[in-house]
Order: sequence, then structure tokens, then C-alpha cells
Amino acid sequence: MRSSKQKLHTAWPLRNTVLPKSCRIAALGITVAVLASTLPLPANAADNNNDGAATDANHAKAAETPKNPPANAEPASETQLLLQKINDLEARVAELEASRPAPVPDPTPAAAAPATPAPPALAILSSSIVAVPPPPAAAAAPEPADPDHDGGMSHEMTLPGGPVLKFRGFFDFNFGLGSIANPLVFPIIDGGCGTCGNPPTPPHTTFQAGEFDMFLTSKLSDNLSFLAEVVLGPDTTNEFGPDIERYTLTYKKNDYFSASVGRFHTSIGYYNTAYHHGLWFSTAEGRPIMYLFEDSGGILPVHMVGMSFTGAVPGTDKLGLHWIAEVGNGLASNSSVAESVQNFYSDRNYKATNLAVYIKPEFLSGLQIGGSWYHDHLDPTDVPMVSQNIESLYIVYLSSKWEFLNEAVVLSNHLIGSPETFRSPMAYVQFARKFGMYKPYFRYQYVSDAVNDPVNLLKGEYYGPSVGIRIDFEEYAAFKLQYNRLFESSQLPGNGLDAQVAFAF
Amino acid sequence: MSRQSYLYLAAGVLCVVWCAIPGSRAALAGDEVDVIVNKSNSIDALSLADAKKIFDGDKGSWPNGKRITVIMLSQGHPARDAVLRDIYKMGESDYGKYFMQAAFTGKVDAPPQDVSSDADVKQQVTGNPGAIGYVNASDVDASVKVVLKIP
Repeated sequence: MRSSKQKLHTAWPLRNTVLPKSCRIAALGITVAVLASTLPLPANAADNNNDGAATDANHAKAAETPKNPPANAEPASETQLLLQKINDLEARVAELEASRPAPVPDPTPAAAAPATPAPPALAILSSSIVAVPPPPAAAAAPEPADPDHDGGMSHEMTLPGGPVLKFRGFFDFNFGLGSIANPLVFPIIDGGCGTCGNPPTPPHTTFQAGEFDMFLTSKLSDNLSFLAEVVLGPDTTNEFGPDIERYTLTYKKNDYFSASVGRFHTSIGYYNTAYHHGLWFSTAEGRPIMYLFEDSGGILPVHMVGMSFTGAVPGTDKLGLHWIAEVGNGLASNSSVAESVQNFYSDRNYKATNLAVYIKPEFLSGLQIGGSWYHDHLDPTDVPMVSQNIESLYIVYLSSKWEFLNEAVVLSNHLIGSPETFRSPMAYVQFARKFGMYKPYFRYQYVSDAVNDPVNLLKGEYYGPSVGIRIDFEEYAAFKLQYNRLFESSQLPGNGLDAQVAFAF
Repeated sequence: MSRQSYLYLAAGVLCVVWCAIPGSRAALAGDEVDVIVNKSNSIDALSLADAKKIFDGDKGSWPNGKRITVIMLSQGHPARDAVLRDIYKMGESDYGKYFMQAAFTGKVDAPPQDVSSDADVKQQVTGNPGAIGYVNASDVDASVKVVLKIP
């Protein structure tokens, strides 16, 4: 008969077999349990083996027992019995091991622990926080699928070697008080027509949730990238509504040519493409009236669904000459429709086109001068076809301290077959100077839209100054306080005071 | 102790304080910052205006069509401060806001990549034919090509 030591030694190689760790632990646990059950318990322990206090007493009692028990304390027959039990258990383990099916290799390479940490699924788009640190190697190994919870499908969304989704959010919260002047940062609520007999906009004082802006980008390859901006924003019904404000897939061949498809901000003027929905970026609290979004009563086709091409002009490095060409669905022919941006269905086959050029000369970094020409045909109900032209011109200068924005746009709606043309000139100027965290600013704006214009929603004249201060009290959060005085053609001048906290997260 | 000794002592203290200011230490030591590219890059020299276009993201590819990858040292490095001052002409917070807005408008895909040391910059530039970065002049070696010196 082999000694127990030899027997245990022959059983040891089991640890190096394919037996899983859990089985080994289970077998060890069974062994320990059997050993424990065969050991004689002290009389009081046997009576109180579920009682914690008694167990402590037993421990104390055991501590009092002599370290060298009498030679006859453990009979030889009992040792033999234990060895026999061990032999039986090992035989049983071997039997179970033999009956266990061979492990099937996992067909999915992702199931294997990656040699290098997988790229992060989400990365932060910021200079200071560039990417989420890779998880520790142990954490990088995917958890085994739990068929009871996900039907065997893994939740791991990382694409090995594939595109990484980057996410950034913006939000603003406002408090406004005053009269008609508040539409500077508030959707026009008098029907957008101050000269049509609509009741004047009543004074209002309100806390106002801004736009919950989720901005996503993903680089699909060196040349291909995707950008999207999803906004949750409330309106005068107090309901939050989701809008996919932008989504563009861009192929950039080089500095001289890139092409985008999707929904984007039309390259009319400067402000419309420089500032989108995240109000943290803009110095002032809201957009100039002329660039109000379509669903806020704006009259310009701020958004376009279609294609955009752009690039620098070769050989003009010192001048920094760039071109932009866009084609897409223009605004809906009837401004009364619920959604004037034609995302899915175009009410006409005619497509809007927009051509723009701008220069960024080397001799004065921050200076940009440009212009654009937009053309479309609209087919409104009950009136002849309308030929729409929009010309813009702008001069802006931006530095780390100074900000000069000067833009002028003329929108013309010409009734085809008649001599009538309705012209709507609009412009604004904005100056700002940064003093540390403080940035006072001034804006004066003017919009004049012909009352009988068959297309535009906003009608009448709106003009007046705004003065405010932006305080960047944190690196990615700003407080703005702005006073507006607005003259509207059919109403008395209004005053408005608005406060805003805007931030990026 | 004579009056002259006090003056020497004061001057010495001022020197010590001046040298302890990180931004001025490099200047005192005469360390210029060199803008470097991969040795295979056909560009031999860049003007400050060209460098600004590249670092700003206005220029995204080299004449041979290779995509430009800008490597920046992490915040607090004196060489980064020099580049922000002389090329970007903006502070750290303006830099962050600039690239966030550049990404927001689709001008760039992402801000420049940050690395922690000159050695990391050289490693990135050596391993990427389209990369551009900067290091202290004293750390330049034959593995990279200097295209612009920032005094």
C-alpha cells in the first residue's frame, strides 16, 4: 500500500490539467467538508456549531488545550479512515473528470484576452482630456457571456481597430425677464409677424431650459469622418423635443477638396457655420435674429440637407482663399409647415445651391472676409413660383482678446412671371474684448422683412442694441448677462434682461 | 558686510528666483524649442505662418498628401508654453476651447495628441511620416529633422 503522501502526490497533476479552477475549488471544498465531518467535535461544539458565541468559546477553549496532545488522542484507525475517504474522493473526481466533455474552442477571437488593451469605447473630445485611460489588463478581458441575461450576446461595443466614438455635451440654462426684447434669445411667439395684426408679445419672466446638445464624432479612417449633433430642446409648448440638428459624413481627400453629405449648416455668412447649437461657444446669449433657427421663426435657410464640397485654392497660401459649394433641399415652400427643413421629403424637384468663398490672409491672423450666394426656387401654395436669392458679405476678426463680427445679408424673393421682388436686408455688428475671465460685448442688429413677402414667416422690422458681459468663471462654464432693447415696427420699444449659464461637459 | 556685497547677494537671490520659474528657466539656459518632423518628410523648413496653419489645423496634409499629425507636449511643459505663445498665440484655456470649437465645426477630427516627454515626441515623429512635434533644442538628435526654431 502506498503512503498517503505518495497518493496525494499522484493526485497533484490534476491541477495542471484542463480541469477548471472552479471544479478544483469545489473538489477541495468537498474534501475539506468530509474531513471536517469525520473529525470528532468537542461535545459542546457539536451542540452549538451554529452559534457564533459558542464557536468563539470553543476557539478560546482550544487555545487552552496543550499544543502536544497525548499520543493516544488520535487513534491509528481513524487516520486510515481519513485516507480511505480521500482515496474515494479522488477516485470520484477522476471519474467526473473523465465524463466531462472536452472543451470546445471559442470561435470568436474577442473572447480571448487581448494582448493589448482595446481602444476605449468612448473618448472625451477635449484638449485636456483626450481619451479615457485604457482599462487594466485584467479588466480588459471580456466577461463570459451570460446566456440568462443577454442570450449569449456580449455588450462589448468596441470595434477592434475600428472607429472610436467621441462624445461631448453642451447645455445652457436661462432666466429672462422683460417684454418683446426677450425674443432675442427666445423664439418669436407673436406668430413671427409684428405687422400682421397679431397680438403683441406679452411681457414674460421665466426660467428657461436651453438646448441639451449632444455632439458626437467618429473618425472612420484617415479620410472619412462622421459628425452628428443631437439636441433636446423645449419650445413654447414646454415640451422637450429631440432634433438631429446635424449629421455629416465627410470625405477629406486633402486640404484642397473634401465632400460631405447629410444635414449641415448652410454656408451663408459667418455666424451660421461658426456657431451651432452649443451656446457655450458663442460670446452673446443667443444668435442674431437674422440667424434664428427655422423653428424659431428664422427666415434664412440655416440648415440644408444635401451635399457640401469645400477646400482651399492651391497656390493661395498667403491669401488663404477657400471655396464652398453646396446643393440640397432648400426650405419648405410654405413656411407654415411644422418642419421647414426638408429632411426626408422635398416639396419640389428643384434643388437649392449655395456658393461661398472666403479668405484668411496670412498678414493678419484671425481676419476672415467672405461672401456667399444662395439660390432656390420655392413653390408656395396660392402664389406663383418664387425665385429666392440670398447674398451675404462678412468681415470678422477673432483673436484671443478681440472679437469683431460684421455681417450683412439680403434675401430676395421674386415672384416668377411678375415684376414683384420682396427684399429683406438684415445685418448685425458685434464687438467684444476679453479682460481675463470677463468679456464685455455689444451687438446691434437690424432685420427688415417685407410685410407682403409670400414665403417668410418673420415679418416686419426688428432692430436694436444688446449689451452684455460673459464671465468664464470656469474653464468650460460661462455666465452671461445681457440687456436687450428691441424696436419692432408695430410695437413700442421693448426691454429685456437675460441671464444664462452655458457649459460644456 | 559692505553695501556692494548686499547688492551681489540680492542679485543672486533674484537669479535663483528667476531660475525657479519654469517658463523662464529655458530662456535663461538658452534652450530654444525646435519644431521637428519625420526625416522622410520632404519639407526642410517652415515659416512661423506655415507652422501656425499646421498647428491650428488649417492645413491638414503635407505636399505629398500625407496626413499631418500634430504632437503636443502635455500641459506644464515649458516647450508647450513656448509653442502656445509663439505659434498658437493663445493661452492654455483658449487652446482647449479653440480645438473644441474646431471639432464642433468639423474643421478637425480631434485636438492634437498630447505626450509627456521630449523622448515621446521624438518617438511619435520617428514612427509616423506625417507627424510634426517640438522638443527642446538640446534634445534634438539625428532621428528627426528640424524645420523651425522657436527662440
